[in-house]
Amino acid sequence: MHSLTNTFASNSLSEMTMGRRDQVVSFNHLKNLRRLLFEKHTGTMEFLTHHGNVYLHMSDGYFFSEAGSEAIVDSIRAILNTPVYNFSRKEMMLRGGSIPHVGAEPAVLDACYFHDITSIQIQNFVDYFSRFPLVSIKLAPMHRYDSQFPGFAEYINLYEQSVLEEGVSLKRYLKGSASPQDTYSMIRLLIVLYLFGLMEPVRTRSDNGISLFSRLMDKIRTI
Amino acid sequence: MMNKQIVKFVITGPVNAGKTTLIQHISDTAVISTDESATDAVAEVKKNTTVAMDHGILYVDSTLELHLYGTPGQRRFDFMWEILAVGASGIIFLVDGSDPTSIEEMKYIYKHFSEQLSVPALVGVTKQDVEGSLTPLEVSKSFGEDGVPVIGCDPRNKKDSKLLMLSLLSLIMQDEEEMAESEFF
Repeated sequence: MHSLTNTFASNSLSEMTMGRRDQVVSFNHLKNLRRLLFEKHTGTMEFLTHHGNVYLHMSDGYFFSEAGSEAIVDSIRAILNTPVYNFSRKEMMLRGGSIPHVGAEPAVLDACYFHDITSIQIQNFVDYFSRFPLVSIKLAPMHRYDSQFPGFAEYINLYEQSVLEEGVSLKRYLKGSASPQDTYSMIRLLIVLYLFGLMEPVRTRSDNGISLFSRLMDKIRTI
Repeated sequence: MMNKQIVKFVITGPVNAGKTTLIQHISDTAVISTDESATDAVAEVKKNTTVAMDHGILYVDSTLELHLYGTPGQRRFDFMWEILAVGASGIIFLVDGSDPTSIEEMKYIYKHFSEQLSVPALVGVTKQDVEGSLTPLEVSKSFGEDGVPVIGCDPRNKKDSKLLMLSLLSLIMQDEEEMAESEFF
């Protein structure tokens, strides 16, 4: 039983003709997915890919699917692995407990780390993340995911760089890749940090808007 | 005349984890220590140990100071933990990753502080260069499902001392932002 309360669609016509390497690929759908994950929203996202429509139903930090948890991970893989031409987000009531469900964060980690992402899509992600402004990385107890998150050590490295240097240039980070496999690991990590809300733009500060904690950080960086 | 603002951090953890060294690296002033000769089991790992507190100050400018208070590591001085925790904005827990006793003691200290204070906290796991030392990941599992952020560090290294301080400050700022958001949304 779904009661539709709101529907909106995004993406311009130009964003709907994506997928070749000579065109800029939009990942606006990830921005919206991120927001839903972050807000532990209830609703459904529908993604139009050239393999067909993909649906993610979520509520309070969980993905739901009648087809089971494997199908949920397959859906996330699908939207990571193929350009999305259009997407919409619908707020609706879900039937809850009786539907198979899986925690949103473990499902994203599974899709990122235990399934392949195509090389063309990896390159699209490189282009996408390279356009990001300077970002700060948040420290979170990611150990709770244990072996589901093989990128933990690299996450801590990136975090340390972020806090010691007041932000990380993702373009420079990705340029430091030593091999395609290295780039692949970096992209997996960046997707996870982005979707989990552990990456955000470094805030620009006006002189009268600097908190005492920011001033302390500035001082400590100089010692 | 502008009021001086003082931010207070507590550095705690079992004996011989590096608390005094961390404060020495960050403080602009000579650290005031209350060291006494170790007489019990502590004497096996170090000659002197903190019995009341370590205190250091980092001066940002004439209007802002960071005061660092290091606690004694032994339970018999736990009355000092409560005294030193008053008014703290954040806590750093240091634990010797190479010593299982230190890790068990850490859990006790962590529980003690978390029952009294609700401020951002961070765990630093030291002695990562010692063979067989537990990694931050392994230590963090002992803090349960939700846990607390844990990073590896060597307080003898200034860069790592800075990293611990900056990490705690980042967590405090995150906490403040989340509180501000929850107030309005």
